Amino acid sequence: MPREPHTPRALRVGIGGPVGTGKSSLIAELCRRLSPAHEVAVVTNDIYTTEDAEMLRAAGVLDPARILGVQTGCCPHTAIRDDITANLDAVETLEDAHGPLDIVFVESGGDNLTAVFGPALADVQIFVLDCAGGDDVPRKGGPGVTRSDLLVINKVDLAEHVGSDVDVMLAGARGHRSALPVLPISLRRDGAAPVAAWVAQRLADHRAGTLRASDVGHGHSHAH
Amino acid sequence: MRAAALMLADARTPTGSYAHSGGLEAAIADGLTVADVPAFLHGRLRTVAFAEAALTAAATRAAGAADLIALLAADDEALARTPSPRLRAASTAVGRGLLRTAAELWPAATLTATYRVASEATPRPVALGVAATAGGLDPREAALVALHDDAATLASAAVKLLPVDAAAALAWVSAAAPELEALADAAAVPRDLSDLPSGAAPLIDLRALRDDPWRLFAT
Repeated sequence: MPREPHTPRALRVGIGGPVGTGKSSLIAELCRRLSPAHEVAVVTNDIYTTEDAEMLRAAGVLDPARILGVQTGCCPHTAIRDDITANLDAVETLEDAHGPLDIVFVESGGDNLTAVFGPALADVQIFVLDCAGGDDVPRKGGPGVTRSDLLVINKVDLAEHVGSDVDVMLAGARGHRSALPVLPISLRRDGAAPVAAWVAQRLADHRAGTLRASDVGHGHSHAH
Repeated sequence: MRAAALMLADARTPTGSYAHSGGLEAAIADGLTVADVPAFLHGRLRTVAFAEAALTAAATRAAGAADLIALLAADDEALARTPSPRLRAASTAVGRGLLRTAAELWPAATLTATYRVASEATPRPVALGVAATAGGLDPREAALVALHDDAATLASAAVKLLPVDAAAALAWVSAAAPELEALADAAAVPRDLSDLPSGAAPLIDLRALRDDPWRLFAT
């Protein structure tokens, strides 16, 4: 199949984080906020092919044809970093079918704190934690916490009910991330306007050729 | 053994193949147990894996002669041996992954890009032949890589699907090594495309038609 690089291609936003922290709900919310003004598509990775894809389709926030599920054979971290073949294929399939696109979200299967996206698959990446998982999680570090371009701490509304301290989480995260941003949110209560604004700004950077990814970028631009 | 052959055989080389079980997952759903895996592996090697290895060797020969027409004819032969739509899609996806990586590893071999553009289906055995040629492998080495990959994919999936230790699963591949060598010899015998072997495993094809929403592996 002929596949030439798209120029300018869509901004690819990786969204990772442990199971149940709100990755799919965050993507649904971002689609809701960003798709009216932008061309958006989503690739999901889940244990069973299409579970997250179906959830997103059911949310009705995007044309169902713009959501593709990829199977990762028990290896969610492999699929986003060591061997991105299947995900890259899905991204390119979406761009071929619906392009030109502005933003493609790639949702990792729920994984541990070490899972990060490879630079050929994601231009920037968001890592999602939640208060219900325990307030010492950010302090534990791991590449997802230390190197993601944006760390989202979800379910702050639950903190008081599960014995978590949001300030402890923010301090734990900042200890690893110096100037990299951390956004505490409650998707269910308030939505995710600050995250959507962050993504929109990265899209502007991507188009201007000034995007800097924090992971393996070290000042090297991943904009093409 | 060339370093390029080791690279093509290395599961860390990105081609997307880790998401496949060679039909093992569906077989387990139908009752296959740990004790049955060596027989399943043997069955694949003698039938579909041998047919794919012979196609890989033929494609390596065609790529070595820069014969694009023969490569596209080999595409048709591969498709004729892959009746299940899901297995066809998987073969195309892995083939595309192989070509993508080969283009990165051996950019001087321009046939990789030419074939990638010209081929509709990029089935795995033909793509592997093109990639193997780009890496400097001969047809027999390419056939051996194809056969080993089939067995190793099965063993690696078994570790995730069944109560078996990784070293014990690898011992299945090791026990099959003499067979891999003999089949590679036979697969590499020069043949007309019309005379290529066409061993089939109909149960694997039939099971691949099922739409099981709880599958972990793509195939």
